[in-house]
Amino acid sequence: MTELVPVVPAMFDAIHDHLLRPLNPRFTPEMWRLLFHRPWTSREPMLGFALLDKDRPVGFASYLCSDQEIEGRAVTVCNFNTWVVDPPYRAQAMSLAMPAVKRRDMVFTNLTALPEVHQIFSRLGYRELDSRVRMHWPFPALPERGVRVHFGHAIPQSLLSPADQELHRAHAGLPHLLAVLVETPEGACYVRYSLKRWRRIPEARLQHVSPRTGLAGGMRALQWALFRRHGRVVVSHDSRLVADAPGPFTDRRMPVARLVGGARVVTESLSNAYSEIALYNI
Amino acid sequence: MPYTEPALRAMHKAIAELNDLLPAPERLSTAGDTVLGGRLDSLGVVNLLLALERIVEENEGVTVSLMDLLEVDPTTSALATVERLTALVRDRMQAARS
Repeated sequence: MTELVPVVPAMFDAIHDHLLRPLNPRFTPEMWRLLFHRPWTSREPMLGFALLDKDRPVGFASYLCSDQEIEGRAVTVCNFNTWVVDPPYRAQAMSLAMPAVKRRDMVFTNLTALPEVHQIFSRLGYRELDSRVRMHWPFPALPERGVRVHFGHAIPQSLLSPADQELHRAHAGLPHLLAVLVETPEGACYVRYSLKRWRRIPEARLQHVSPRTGLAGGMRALQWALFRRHGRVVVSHDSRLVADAPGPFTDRRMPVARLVGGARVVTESLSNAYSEIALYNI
Repeated sequence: MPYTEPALRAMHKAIAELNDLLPAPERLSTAGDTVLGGRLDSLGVVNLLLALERIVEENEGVTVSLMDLLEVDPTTSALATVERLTALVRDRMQAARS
């Protein structure tokens, strides 16, 4: 007889030993622990759900919830990730995902779904959030005039919106999610990015851009600044994250599209912050 | 009982639709004792229930919701066999009409 229960931090050791460690041996316990002790606070206490068989965890789904401001509206966003169920209990796997399907009082995202999970959530009404990665190729154009670029600790906090100040604090302990501020004559644009590779091509992948129109007059300056800091990198991002950026760029399809469900919001403004992408650089 | 035939027709049609998506060895029989719970994977269950909801609405003009079945153990619930799921669909059609 199994029982579905809300996850609490004290369940970490049991869930880690039975389900998470075998899932990805390259992840350390400290990495997995972030799902149970998220680096940010939220009004929504939900951490996820576990399926127990006589107190032994046989299934787990993580929900990374955060309070965000989307187009000036306070919204709770819960990112569904890490859905794992012991094979003999797979028939009950859906019970772990149903809160992400039923609740309409918050936004749910599914950013790194496997193809099979993408199919299930699509059938249950999730919409496509993004399916393309835009790559801005390095080119011999000078940076825009009058643009300043600040990295990391040099970012003037006074130029950040309150929501970005909170995001900045919440993600400060994640070493692979780097911070940069692009200051143009039109205003400041706060960016979090990670260094990745796509088919051996080094990328600076922008994961959060605020506001999303903020790089219209500063993309080339950002490209040059990233070039000076990290060497030859292609600047890339989910297509929705940056509006009005100058070319040239090319788009490639994501292997599996990102998904969104629950409460309706302007989805272009949902970034990859506060998710497993931010925690693990995946 | 009322709605037994419409529920059975909807079930047969939904299974036929699902079978179009399944590889030959995994296709389901429409026999009442055909096991569903524990045999279909999560996507199969979702596809079957959504097909049933749509077919009942299209054919009978009745809206029934079956999504609550995704929250329970399918090996012991109404999802256990074709017969039990058909009976549940019948009961819900009846409740929706009354």
